[in-house]
Amino acid sequence: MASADQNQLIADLSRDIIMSIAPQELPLFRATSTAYFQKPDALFKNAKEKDQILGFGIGETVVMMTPSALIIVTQIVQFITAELQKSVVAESSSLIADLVKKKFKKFRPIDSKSDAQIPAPLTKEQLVYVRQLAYKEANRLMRSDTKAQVLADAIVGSLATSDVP
Amino acid sequence: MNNASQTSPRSPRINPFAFPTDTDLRFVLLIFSVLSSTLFVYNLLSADFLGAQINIALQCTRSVPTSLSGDLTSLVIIQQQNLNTACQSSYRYLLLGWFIGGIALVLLVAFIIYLLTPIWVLRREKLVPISVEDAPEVVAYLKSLCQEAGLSEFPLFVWNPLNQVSNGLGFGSLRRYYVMLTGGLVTLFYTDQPVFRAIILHELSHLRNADVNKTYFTIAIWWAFVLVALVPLAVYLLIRLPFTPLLTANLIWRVLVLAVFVYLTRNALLRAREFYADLRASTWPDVAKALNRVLATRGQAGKLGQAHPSWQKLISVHPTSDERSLVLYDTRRLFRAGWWTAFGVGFAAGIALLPLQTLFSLFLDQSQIDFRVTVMPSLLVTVLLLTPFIVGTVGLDTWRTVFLASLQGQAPQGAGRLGLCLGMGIVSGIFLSLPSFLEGSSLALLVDLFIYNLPWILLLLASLFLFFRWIASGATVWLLVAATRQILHLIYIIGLLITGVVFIGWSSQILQFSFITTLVIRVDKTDIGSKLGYLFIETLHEPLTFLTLIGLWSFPLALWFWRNRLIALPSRNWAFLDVISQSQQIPSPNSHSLRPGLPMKFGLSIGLTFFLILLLGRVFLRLSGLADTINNDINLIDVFYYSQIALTLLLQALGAAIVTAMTRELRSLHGLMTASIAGCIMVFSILALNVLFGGTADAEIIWLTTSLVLNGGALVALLIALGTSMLLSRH
Repeated sequence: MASADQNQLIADLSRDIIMSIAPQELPLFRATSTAYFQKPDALFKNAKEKDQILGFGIGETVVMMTPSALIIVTQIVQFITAELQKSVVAESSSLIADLVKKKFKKFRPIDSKSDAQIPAPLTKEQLVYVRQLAYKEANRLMRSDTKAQVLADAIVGSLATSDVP
Repeated sequence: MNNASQTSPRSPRINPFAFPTDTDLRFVLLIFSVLSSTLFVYNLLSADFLGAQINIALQCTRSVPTSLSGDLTSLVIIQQQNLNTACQSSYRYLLLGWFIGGIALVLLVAFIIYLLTPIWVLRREKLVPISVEDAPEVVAYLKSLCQEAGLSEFPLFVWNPLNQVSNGLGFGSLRRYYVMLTGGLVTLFYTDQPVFRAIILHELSHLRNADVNKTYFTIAIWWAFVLVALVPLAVYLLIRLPFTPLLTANLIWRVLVLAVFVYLTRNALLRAREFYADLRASTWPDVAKALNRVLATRGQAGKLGQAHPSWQKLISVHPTSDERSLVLYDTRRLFRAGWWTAFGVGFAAGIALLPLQTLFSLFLDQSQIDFRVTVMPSLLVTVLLLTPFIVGTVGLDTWRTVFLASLQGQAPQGAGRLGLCLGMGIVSGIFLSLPSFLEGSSLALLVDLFIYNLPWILLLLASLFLFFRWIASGATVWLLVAATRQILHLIYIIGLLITGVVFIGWSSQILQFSFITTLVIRVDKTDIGSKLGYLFIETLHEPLTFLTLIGLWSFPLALWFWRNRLIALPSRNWAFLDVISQSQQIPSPNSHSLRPGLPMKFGLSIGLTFFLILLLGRVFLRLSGLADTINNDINLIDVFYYSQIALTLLLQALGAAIVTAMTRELRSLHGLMTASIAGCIMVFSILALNVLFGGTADAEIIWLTTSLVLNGGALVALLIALGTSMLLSRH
């Protein structure tokens, strides 16, 4: 998948997730995602910037979902890409990118069952794996079990499943 | 003043902005501490950098005898001292340049750091302007908050959306101000807008309180002090190894104390400003509750709420949440006398005293052969320089303490202790900066210095105790005419000016005695008593003593002229942060207990009594022929003259004691006024009757009589009045 396309996909998916689970973070989304795609590794370093001693006081750290969502969605997209590459080795990267997008509800045509080009949804095992991956990462990044569960569920919910038309 | 009363069900809060705040006082203290400490350090460094010039100057000194020893005539001494002055001239200017250069360098570096700090904060925090595209609602809301805060110039709002700590920061320099928002704080706009509003208004309050410049200059001057004074000194000590290990250790602990002192002063300032920003913000609707909520939350969850040991509080740059919550609803804590501030002011002044006096003495004390004025000019200039700082801080603190007491209907407490703390600070500062520590192991000299100066130290402490109680007395009565904040400002400024004059007069005399004692024990210890006695008599003749003693009673009692404008302080709206209801207002005082008429009457009566006694005495002497006998014997003339003076002192003391006993408020000052009024008539009586009975009254005798009767009488009367007042208070 071309990098710009993949970034756009990650950004779109993450924004949808944030819109549903943490709409208060939407004003920060553009700036956060831009910073993330520029320096993916630096995002959490910046996010945990030390407090200003001359500021209002030792402020609480607000556990924001956006950075975690971007990081986890990136990993999920990479996972799905890898899975698809195993089955369609001979296909071009642009086609794989297109197939990856269609693994998500947002980009999946409504009448997907009748189209042979539409990839099958993730299997139950794959969904379980994605949920585990998302939850583990979210818990590591946010150190909040509740928020990790919400984010993991939202990410899994964004994926196409077999019972979804 | 505001709407906070709508949110606060408690009693109205006392307005902490009625007087300059702790932030202002500590800022002044910090600047002065840094400059004093720099002077101390550069004084040390001068021994190396100006070593060659010092040697030349010392040789100049050795080539002529001092005025305190030897049997040379005055003319020869003056000529030799002039040679000495010329010989040392280049050194003096070099030393002056060295001191001024050191101080200027600290200020210059501080200014540069201060200018660069905003750029550094913007870069370090990766801050960018918050745009309408990013968060239109937030931008619009911030603008409305600026309008609500009444800022004449809006700051630029910048943010780092990636910073998840919910925090705000006001910063900037030279009227270019910024308010930083973090991603965490912007999130609060959507999840908890009252808290977002409270935090932003707190930051805008720093701008309203003019904190930002003070804060960043504070940080800057600390680093400038470290870079320009402490680091060079450390390098000098490490590389040049100029002293023995013992002497180096003796020097290092003194410098460390200075550094810690400056550091703690800096942190005290940074802590103080937070209270005032909270309070300013709390004057806008609903902010107090939100602030209290966020402080309570953070107090439970964060470091701010943890119980810190006292030493950790001292080094903290933030007050704890609990402290902030308490002050938010009870501003009285901000009016309590600042013992440590008073000590710090004294300490800073004490550190600066010796280097400044030494410096000025190089320019002012030359060509003097009069023992009395050997150190007075330089001492007077030094005290003149230090007085605005001392009176402007501790004096103002006294006014604030009195303000609180008056609002609570109580007598002012702790003013005397403020004076004691100041005095102990001065003594500690002088001890720390004693140049004698460089004089090797001369323990005997240090012991001598301590023992011989002990009376003056005790006198300084006692007089500062009384002096600050006097300021409190003056403030108590004068606050009654402060109808508006403008009048209040005028009153305390004039009050502090008068206080300053009195302080200069009094403290310079005491310090003069101390310095002369030090000088004497270094040169010639014999007959110290008579030398100091002579000095005391000379002190009585100084116009400054006269001004000081008159100022003591005239400032508080002059309120009598405004007696029809007295209003109880608790009924003034400006005195409270919250709007006070009519039911809370207190009626104006119907009467006052200042009775300047009483000292006037008694003073006149005593003066006229003296006149009659003297007239009768002179008539008797004339008729009995004793007058001729006296006039022909210089010793008898002296006896007759000083008998009159003694009688004036006795009568003044008597009058002061009676009037002190008859008054209820400002007792001893009424007594002092009596003595002064009586003294004026007595002076006239002595001089007029002398002329009437064939004597003369030239300028010298006029001033001698005036100073002896008025100053001497006032001093005696003051002691008697204070004693009487104390006795009556006990009963």
